[in-house]
Amino acid sequence: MIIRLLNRLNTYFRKKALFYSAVIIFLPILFRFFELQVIDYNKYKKLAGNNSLRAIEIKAPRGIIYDRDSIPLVDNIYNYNFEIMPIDIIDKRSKEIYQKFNFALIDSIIGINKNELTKKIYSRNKGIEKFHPFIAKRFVDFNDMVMLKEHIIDLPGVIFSEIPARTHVSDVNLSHVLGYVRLVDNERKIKLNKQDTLFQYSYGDVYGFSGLEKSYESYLRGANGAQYRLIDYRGVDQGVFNNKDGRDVINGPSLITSIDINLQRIAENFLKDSVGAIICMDPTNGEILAFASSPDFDLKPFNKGPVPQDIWDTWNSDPNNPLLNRPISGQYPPGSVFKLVTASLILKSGKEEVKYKCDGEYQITKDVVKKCWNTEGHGELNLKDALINSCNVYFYEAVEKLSFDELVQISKEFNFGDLVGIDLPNEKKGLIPTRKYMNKKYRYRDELGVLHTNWAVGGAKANMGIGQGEVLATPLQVVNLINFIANKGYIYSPHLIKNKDNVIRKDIELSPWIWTFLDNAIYNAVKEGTGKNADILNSDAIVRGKTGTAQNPQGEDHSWFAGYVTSKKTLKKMSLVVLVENGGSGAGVASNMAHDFFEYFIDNQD
Amino acid sequence: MDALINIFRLNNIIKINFRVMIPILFLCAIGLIALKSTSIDTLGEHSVFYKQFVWLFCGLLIFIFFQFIRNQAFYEYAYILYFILLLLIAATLFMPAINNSTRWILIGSFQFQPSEFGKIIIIFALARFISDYKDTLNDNQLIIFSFIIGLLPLLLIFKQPDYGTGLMYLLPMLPMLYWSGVKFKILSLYLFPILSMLAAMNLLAYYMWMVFLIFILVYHKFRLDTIIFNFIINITFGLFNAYAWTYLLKDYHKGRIIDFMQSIFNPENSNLMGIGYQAFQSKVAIGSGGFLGKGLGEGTQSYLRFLPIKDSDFILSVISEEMGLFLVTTIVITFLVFLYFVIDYAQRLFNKFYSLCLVGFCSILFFHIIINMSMVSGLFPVIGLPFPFISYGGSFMLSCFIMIAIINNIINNDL
Repeated sequence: MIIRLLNRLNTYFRKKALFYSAVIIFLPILFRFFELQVIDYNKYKKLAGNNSLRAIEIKAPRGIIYDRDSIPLVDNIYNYNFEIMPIDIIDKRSKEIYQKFNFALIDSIIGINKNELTKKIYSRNKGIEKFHPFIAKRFVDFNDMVMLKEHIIDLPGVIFSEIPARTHVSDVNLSHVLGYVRLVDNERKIKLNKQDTLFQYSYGDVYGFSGLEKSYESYLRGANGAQYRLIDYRGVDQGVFNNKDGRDVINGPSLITSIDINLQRIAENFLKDSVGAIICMDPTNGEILAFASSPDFDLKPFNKGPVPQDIWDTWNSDPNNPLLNRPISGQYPPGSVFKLVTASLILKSGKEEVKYKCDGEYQITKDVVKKCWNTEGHGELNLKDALINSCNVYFYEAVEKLSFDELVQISKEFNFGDLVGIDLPNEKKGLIPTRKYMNKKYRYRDELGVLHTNWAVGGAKANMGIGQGEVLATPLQVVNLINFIANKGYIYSPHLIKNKDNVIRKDIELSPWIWTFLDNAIYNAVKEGTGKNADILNSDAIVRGKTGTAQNPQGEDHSWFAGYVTSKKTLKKMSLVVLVENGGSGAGVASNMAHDFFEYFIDNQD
Repeated sequence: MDALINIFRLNNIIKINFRVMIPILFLCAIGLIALKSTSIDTLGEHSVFYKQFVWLFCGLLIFIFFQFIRNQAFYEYAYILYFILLLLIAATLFMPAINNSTRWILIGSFQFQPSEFGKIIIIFALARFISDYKDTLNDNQLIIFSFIIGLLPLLLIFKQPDYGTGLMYLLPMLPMLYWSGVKFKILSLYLFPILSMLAAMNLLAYYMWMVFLIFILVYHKFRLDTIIFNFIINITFGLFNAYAWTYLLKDYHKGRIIDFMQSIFNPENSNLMGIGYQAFQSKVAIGSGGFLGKGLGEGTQSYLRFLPIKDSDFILSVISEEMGLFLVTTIVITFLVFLYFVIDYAQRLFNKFYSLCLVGFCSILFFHIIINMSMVSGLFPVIGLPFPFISYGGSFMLSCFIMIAIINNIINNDL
């Protein structure tokens, strides 16, 4: 009992000691607050600036995009936004807009109605919004801006902010490669800001919405800077307060693309009057030299804010669909070009010397007769001759001896039916019909209730062997096939950036002689076969290529040419795919275009 | 199974001790008001104000849950919890880093910071150890062993690194040891090395402190060998500080400390936009508030984004700016009222463990508050400790509610 009592006495003392020491420890801290808030109140009040020191954001210009020889393709231009800071335009005593505010001047120069503006100002004059300048008019001209600035004393609360906008400075379109930007909205801001913690998006920023602008968004974007501006008691902006307190703008680094502007110009000129796609590549490193899709759209309307609805409507209602990025999103039957894939399987199984006789047509079943393009027939052919003459009958017969699954397998190895992996958004996969796909699509019950699943009988397999029927491929996949042959077994994944690091290499395991065989076959196809038109009369060049005439249920055949040229002098290579929608035979229009490309390439080898 | 049932006391009737809870509810209300004013620009579900409601609701659920726990279980499981804590903190070291520190255990999108809840567990472990061995060990042994209990998780936490939280594993030990009856004279011997470390940041201060130290040691009539030993220890710790400066501290810590020193000794030339930017802006926000503040929602400093992380660690500068010294003083007095009542209950408790728990929890809240207040007013480097019950959400808010729930439970059921 006594011990407990003593214990209580002891703890009673300790209780007091603990509590008072807590109070004593609080005293200097409270004194510190007293010092800041009462003794030094005036000093800090001045520092806080009574709203006179404003942080204004300065938008960072995006990186400039160049072609491979540093010729600018996309640059920035300064536009001015006419902004109003509500807190500064409102008289603090009467709580109304300053009497002297010169609405008439604004109306006469940039045409904003007084009532409209007043309404906007009052609606923004509350809560946090009154501290944020709002944009009353976007993209004011330099001259108008200067005129208004002369009268800035009558325009309290008016701010002109410089905003970098994109401008397309080259004479080539490149719409689908370069892409365009859009203003961030709130939803987008939340989404983007989570991804990228270093550079935050804020009100009025843009982000890449398509093309390279989208793929390299985080690279092209700089970081916005901040400026502390002094606003006097009348609300007039007196300029930058103190340079060292700001945050410097970090310009977006420039992006050097692999595009060769001259080749690009040629490509776009060729396709001017037709619908189609062209890709030129350097097969040895995967760089894309020209990338054209026709028809395409003009990027210039995007430079001044959102594109007007009527322009969108024209694009959307155009039957030729200019918004479709044909080289990577257009899916076409590859036609005879695909015979190279089938040939590689024939070679793999060692049947290249087996001869089949072509007499112009081939009877698959008793109802189905397939014709060769040469209705008179090619006579007895081995694989090499069949490739050179692009004989369909040979391939119908040869494919019948091959395994369907192996054909699917090797097509997939050549990246057909799968993404090639270009650094542009919206790449399409094309289509390689697998057994599962075919079963699903062609299984049917006839009147007697018998289940038919034997689609191969209908010629689907034979069709696939010559790149018709179900097979769909993008031009990018076709040029990729040529790159495999040009490099004899491997490719670098196609990209639009010059000297890109970490380019993915993909290999196909086939014996070297198979690659040599294919290479020679497409050499001969140009020298003496269907691709004659693409050949050039220059002893420095070796042209190889394969034409394709893809039958198209909707109309005229699509015209294909895919091939590459090697310069004997420099050993440089350029691979090329030309697709002209409804262009007729591949030996015609596509080969002619390829001819001019090859000629340009060889002539410009120094 | 029986052991599990033993933890709970399901027939408990929830009683709320208003002396303790009213100050806490008052603090929560102030926090909500301040967050309402900072979150005007983000309305709806994304606003911090709305989220704080969710956090407070979670806090309420936790409070109710803990009322059904038998308090003796904390005593029984103190060491087990302590070892689980060590394992969890060790596990965080293998987790991917967020903002250069590995404080969190990440399971999917769920983040969990064990060191935050560890603040409670360390109180249990210390309280059990001290209450068990107070009568068998002498004061020196008690202090050293308690120190080791705190030091083990602390070393792991410093590895993360999270110095603010780490501090909370050592500081509560002092009031607890004092409360258990350790003589202040002996306790102070162990405090001196820390003061030496602080003093060693400035050579002159270090010399002066050493002279003063000898004076204190002699004045308290310690034995000669104790004086000499303690003196040597103090010099070593001073040197250790220099070692720590070179090898242990990260660059941003150095930056903060240099900025902080500079702003004290040379306020005109301090680097306002550097690492000391936060502290400087916070000072301006506080100072411009004056005695009565600018009024709710009128704080221009915090409004115009001059003030970073205003919702969590720097909420007090928003409050100071908008509601002035008046409310800051009110907050301090509110906390002192809470402190007074809890210590009063702690004195009336016969169970030593419970009594020590109460003091331990109070001191954690107390140290958070004083460090946070010093931090926002530029008296202490910015180490990222939030203000209990006022700062926005997070694990810390939940652990504060756990502490309050246990205090309430102890007072209602074991007094």
